[in-house]
Amino acid sequence: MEKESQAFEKLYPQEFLQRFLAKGLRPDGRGLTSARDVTVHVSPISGSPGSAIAKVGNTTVVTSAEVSLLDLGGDEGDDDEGRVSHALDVGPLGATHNDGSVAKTRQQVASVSGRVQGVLSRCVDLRSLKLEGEGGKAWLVGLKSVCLSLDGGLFDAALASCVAALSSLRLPGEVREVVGGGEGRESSEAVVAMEEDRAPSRPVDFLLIPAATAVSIHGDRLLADPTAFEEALAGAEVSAAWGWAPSGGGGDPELVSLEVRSEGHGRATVDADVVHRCLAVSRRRSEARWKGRCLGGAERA
Amino acid sequence: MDRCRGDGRGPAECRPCFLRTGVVSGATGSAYGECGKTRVVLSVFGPRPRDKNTGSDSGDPHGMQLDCHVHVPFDSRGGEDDGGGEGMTEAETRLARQLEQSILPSIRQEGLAKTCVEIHCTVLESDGSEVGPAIVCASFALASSRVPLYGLVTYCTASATGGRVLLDPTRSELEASEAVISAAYMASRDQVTFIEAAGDWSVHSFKDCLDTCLDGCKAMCEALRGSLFELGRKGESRKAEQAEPMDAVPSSPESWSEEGGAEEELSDCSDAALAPQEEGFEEFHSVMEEEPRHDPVTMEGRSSEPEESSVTKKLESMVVANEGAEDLDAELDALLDM
Repeated sequence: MEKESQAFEKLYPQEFLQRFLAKGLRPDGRGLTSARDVTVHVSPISGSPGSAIAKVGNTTVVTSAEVSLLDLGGDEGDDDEGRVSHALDVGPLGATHNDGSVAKTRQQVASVSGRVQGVLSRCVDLRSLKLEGEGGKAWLVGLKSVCLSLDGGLFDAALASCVAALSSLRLPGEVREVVGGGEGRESSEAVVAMEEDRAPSRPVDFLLIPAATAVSIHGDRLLADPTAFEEALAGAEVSAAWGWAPSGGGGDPELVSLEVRSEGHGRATVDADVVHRCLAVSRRRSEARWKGRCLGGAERA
Repeated sequence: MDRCRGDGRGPAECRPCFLRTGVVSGATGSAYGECGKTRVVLSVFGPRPRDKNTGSDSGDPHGMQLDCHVHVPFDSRGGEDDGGGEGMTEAETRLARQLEQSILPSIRQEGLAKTCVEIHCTVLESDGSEVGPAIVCASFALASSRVPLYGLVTYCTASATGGRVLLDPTRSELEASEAVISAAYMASRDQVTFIEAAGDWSVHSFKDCLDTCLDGCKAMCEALRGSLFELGRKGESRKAEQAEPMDAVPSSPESWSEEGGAEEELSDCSDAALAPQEEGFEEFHSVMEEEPRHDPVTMEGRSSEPEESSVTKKLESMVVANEGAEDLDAELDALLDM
């Protein structure tokens, strides 16, 4: 019986999904607008200054954060602030369920990574990353995400794991110059001193704490937080990231990033009111995720 | 010198291993393994139809091809990474070659002509040898994805330091050692599939070190086989699966309590998960154990059927809707391409 339903799922995926949606359910038993819980663990990798692993259903993303110095060029302009960079690696998982085109996967991965970087650049207080004292240096926080398992919601999981990795990261309090070349390093390269007793390390400041939920559109139904199976059958997908002020207490979130994407089997045009409905659903679900994360992550920061 | 090592082990004790299967959805088989602080996620894809264009380097164009890819994304030791991204570093290429060489002899190739089996390994953290847990995970994942095997391959490293032979050294012990030997061993056929030795062997006896190494491999293989049987038994009884944490040799008591605690945490994982935890070891266990398995894996000893044939058999017995014959052909083509 189970093998027959699996065969039906593979042969007629659209009918398979519609039979569930007609009853207001999805193949994994959720309601139409319920999102999977985000589970976040901090510091699973002991060798990294900051790391986190986030799980959204079966999607697992591990992020590791590292700091390095950035030379601002010495002129005290307006943009004397640090930078956050992000790289995402999906490995072989991206190619298994689209048409196998590697370039398209790379494009999708690059777009997810670019969006995460954009959201984080807006949500992290970049000015606080600038080092006082001798001019022209700021921190460059490099985030590297690896996707271990993919089942829809890549952007949501990547964003959650980056935020958690940043909240577990401690910026070193002091920078020492090491003069004299050894082991191939340049003589004037600064070496970061991680000694806690010299100057206390400080956490990364957040202007807004982001959380995201994607909503996919199937005909006239909206599905929050689609799995990979549902994503492949969607007419279009609206992915929105919201940011809340870190002081807590709720309040209205700010829309930090919005992407409307329509590709795959059923290309469809998306009306503005559909986008509004999606945003409302996304905001409700993201609020639940942000509240859950506030306990563990950002309040320590 | 009867001193214990840094983590309380004796000289002939391996670190306790934790193995879990079914962690990567979308892969045919997958395994997550921890050996001390070395953490490895491995996924197996296949057997898939082989690309006709590739395979110029392997000898037999009609045989089975094994593709191994190793990715070490968070390498804190590595120097400046040159642009990251596409190219594999030298260490990754070397690890992939070692993995392929160790695993390939254990796969029964006669039923898998013209197919390609891909193994993708991500090393999350490494302390001591990375290839060891990767090879053990690969055997575990291949067995759980029903690729026909001759036997399980296990891997062990022995390092010789000042007269003592230490089994399964950590990275600091490796750096302090004078000679290192590693071997991958298939216990069911009593064959060594891969061996690597380096260092100054004038003082230490090569044969003794090799024997110690193989003893470690044998013990690990026993434990691995035991945990596979457990998995098969539980899979057949259709319960939720949990791979038992396995030991090569009696471990230190603290790691036992960690593993036991992690398994009990399964039910209230979602509450505990959000609070920040100190111990990375426990978190990884509870994260990985939350994965629900969609299809129970049955561990049968006989050879596997490729995924396609079981579905086509079911297709014949299924009642197909009234569609034209050409539509059915198109559907079948689409199915067999997956």
